[in-house]
Amino acid sequence: MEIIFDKVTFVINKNTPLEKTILNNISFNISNSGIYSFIGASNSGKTAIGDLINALVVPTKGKVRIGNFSNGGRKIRNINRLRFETGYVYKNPYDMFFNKTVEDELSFGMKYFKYKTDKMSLRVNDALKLVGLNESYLELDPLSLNLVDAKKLALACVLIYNPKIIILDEYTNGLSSNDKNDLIRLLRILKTKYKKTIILLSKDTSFCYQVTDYVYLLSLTRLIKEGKKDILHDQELLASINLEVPKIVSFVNECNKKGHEINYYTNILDLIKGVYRDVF
Amino acid sequence: MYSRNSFGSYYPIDSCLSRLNPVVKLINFLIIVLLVIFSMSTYVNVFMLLLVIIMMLLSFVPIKYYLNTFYSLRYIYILIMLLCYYFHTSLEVCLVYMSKVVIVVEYLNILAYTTSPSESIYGIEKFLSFFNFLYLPISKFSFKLNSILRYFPLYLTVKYKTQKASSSRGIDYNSLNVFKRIYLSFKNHKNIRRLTKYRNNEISKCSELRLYDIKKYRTNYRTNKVGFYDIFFLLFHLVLLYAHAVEGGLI
Repeated sequence: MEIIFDKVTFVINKNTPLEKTILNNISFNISNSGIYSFIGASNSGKTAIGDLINALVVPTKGKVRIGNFSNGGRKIRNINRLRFETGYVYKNPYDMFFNKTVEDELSFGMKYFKYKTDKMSLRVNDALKLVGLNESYLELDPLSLNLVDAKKLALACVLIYNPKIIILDEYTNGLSSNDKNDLIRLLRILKTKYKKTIILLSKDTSFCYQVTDYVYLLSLTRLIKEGKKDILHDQELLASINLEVPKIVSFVNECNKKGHEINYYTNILDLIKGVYRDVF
Repeated sequence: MYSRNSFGSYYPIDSCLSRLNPVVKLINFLIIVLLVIFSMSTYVNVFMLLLVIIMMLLSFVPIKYYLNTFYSLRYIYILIMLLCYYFHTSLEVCLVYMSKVVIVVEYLNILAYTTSPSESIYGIEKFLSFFNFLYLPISKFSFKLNSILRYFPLYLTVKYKTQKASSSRGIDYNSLNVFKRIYLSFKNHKNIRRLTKYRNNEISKCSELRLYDIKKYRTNYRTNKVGFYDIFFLLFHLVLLYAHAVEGGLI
């Protein structure tokens, strides 16, 4: 499913003293399935990209095209179909919850998108298992969950109706390394086996470096650079936009400065093997 | 989430009204309430309305926010007109009643837009400190009062968030017919009320942490001191009170 941002500008509280530009003349094109990362510091406009794709807000200028749908200010026909195909996990998972139990929360999307309602209980259990939760959570109040479990539940709420595009906004904040590894595994399965388009909106460069296929760097409402994950090797560029250099990249850069010739690896085990092979 | 202003929510902008002392604001509001209840004079009510309009302009909050509230009261104006027609009251009296509604609602709006939640707790607490000699739990009471005052704006915020979350998972509010909208509103109301209560408790806990020490004594929270504008606005309100007293033959 193709996503096209055509010179999109997004301004909030327009014509008021609190007017603020969130996105400034942004254009990009996502055509194939894969994992795409939008990386930027706070207030760079990442969340607005998710909101625009999910048609929760309307661009002030320009047009957003998602498959056959166009979000450009006019009323979108069959908007539910668009939202069904673009699952969106919010930055704050608690903002997604409004039902009394986890089970109601999970089944809400299926019920209103009318997606496989006859297999509801089966899919509810499967979705929970997919994100690493179990059936004991079903009767709990979603607001009583801790942040990590709430994030997992928010992801399950989206996965349950099987969207083609999955948007994860700051999903890795607060996750332990084990949770992150599980997530990497899940994202890879979704990408390779189910041909999903996954959009990561994050400032966690280390995580994005491990999984992403293509990177967009955002800074202060503008898209400043895009390219393969190699652009995350540029320490000066990342420092200039207040982003942390991925830890693996930082380690390899330091070693190479001291005269070693180590290649860039995306995961720590490969790096250890590489160091063993190249240095010793 | 992007900021979204509605009735009763704080609008964070610097203006002479935002810098007013919260206690003086409350005293001014009390004067206005007294005048609205007791004054049937057209002149006093017109001057009060003018004062409210001037304050709206000085608050630097976009006028459209006030107009939104004005528009949302349309059914109340119609009800007042119908009642006046039923009781055969004159057009002048009918207009006075309508202006009273506008004055109270828009004045409350001005107070909410220009007073932060911490300031309003402080203002209520200071205002009620007179009852301290009775050993009443004033701080607790001011917290409760503030929670009640902020309940409706909070409800609207939670409602907006819930609508956004449910829109993104299958409810298209724009294409629903009236009956389905009403049905969904009733269905969601229970959940929104539960979430608002939860959020209200969270805010109370945060305020308590910020404003009180462990023995529940007030910490040194600094707020706007009484200045020129406070005295100016207070005098203006007192002049209106005086005018009412003169017109009513009390002085």
